[in-house]
Amino acid sequence: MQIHRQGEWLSATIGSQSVMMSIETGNYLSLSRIGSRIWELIAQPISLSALCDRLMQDFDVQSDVCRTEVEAFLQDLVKHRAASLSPTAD
Amino acid sequence: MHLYRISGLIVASDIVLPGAWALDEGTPEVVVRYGAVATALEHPLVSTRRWDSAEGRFLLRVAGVGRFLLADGDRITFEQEAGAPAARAAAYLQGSVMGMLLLQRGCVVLHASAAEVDGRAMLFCGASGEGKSTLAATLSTMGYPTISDDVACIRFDATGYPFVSADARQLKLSEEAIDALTLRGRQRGAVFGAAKSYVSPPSQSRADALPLQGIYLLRSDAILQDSIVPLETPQALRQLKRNAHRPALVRRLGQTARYFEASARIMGHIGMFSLERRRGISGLQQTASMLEAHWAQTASRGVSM
Repeated sequence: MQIHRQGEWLSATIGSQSVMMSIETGNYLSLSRIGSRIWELIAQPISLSALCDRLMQDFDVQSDVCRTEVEAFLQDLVKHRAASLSPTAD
Repeated sequence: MHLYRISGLIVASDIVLPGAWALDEGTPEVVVRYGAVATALEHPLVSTRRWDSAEGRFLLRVAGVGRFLLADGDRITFEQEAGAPAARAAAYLQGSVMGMLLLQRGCVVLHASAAEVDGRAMLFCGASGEGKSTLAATLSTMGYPTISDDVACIRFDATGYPFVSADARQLKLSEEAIDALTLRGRQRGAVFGAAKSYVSPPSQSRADALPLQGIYLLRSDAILQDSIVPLETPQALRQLKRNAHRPALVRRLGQTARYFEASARIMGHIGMFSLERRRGISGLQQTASMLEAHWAQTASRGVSM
């Protein structure tokens, strides 16, 4: 699976969270520290396994837990039209 | 010329501005003059039926009033349409035109009233008719000085903390509110185009600028119990955008990114709350008492709201 950012978003940091606003839709999203890191990492298209590898370097998390949680988070981004997922060999 | 303090700025004006805070002396930061104004800007960046915008200039055309040219955030030239009532021009100048000038100066301008509580500013946003001015008036009768009505201008100090600029303009109140709050005798003339009067608040803040402490979003409904609920950050940012003095103008002047960044900075320091209250003037005292309790509670916790 290849992950791409979608749309144009403004982002700002408030305390430990990041907030983003879609310029096209005016929708707002709030991201945790880990969510913000994922957002940084998907600035360039990246595969799910490469993304999980990078996150496991940054955070203390098991591989299977990481993958499950990242997938759920990505579905959230897709729902808010902040990311798109394309099926590729992964 | 007449001299006023409006949203923290010293304004010298050819036009009498009813309801504004009159000064005896001061060095003007903004000058408002009668003069010739072209019907359109040359080389506009954005042009609409009612206004043109260019680098450092903004031209507003108001049918039945005249044309206003705003330059570099410190000069307003007004050409009055023949036969246009001066009071209508003054009303435009104090509302839309000053709001645009503040935007031109890089302020965050909210459609809100503001009250001083223990040396800090509390803002009250909400749609027209939700009771922003009436709540500020009620708080004023309880010893919480009025900072501003209708337009609240937020600036940042050198450390990035948000401050609300002094305004102390008179409150625009309905006859019903004037009677309910026993403010008869404090009227200072009729508000042009509205069944309201300018009323001098019983207590007015005279500080130049006050640190912002909290923002309340007013909503009235047919409910029994008032409530104050904190807003999550995304919701708060959405409301700050929706309650901008002129939300469409922020977008069309290409200030969306700046406004978002400033709104996020504001939310990094203060709390924003939804204040649901019973519709009507009779419950205002109760709403004000609930606010007092909320302020006492947050102060005793010693935390930022």
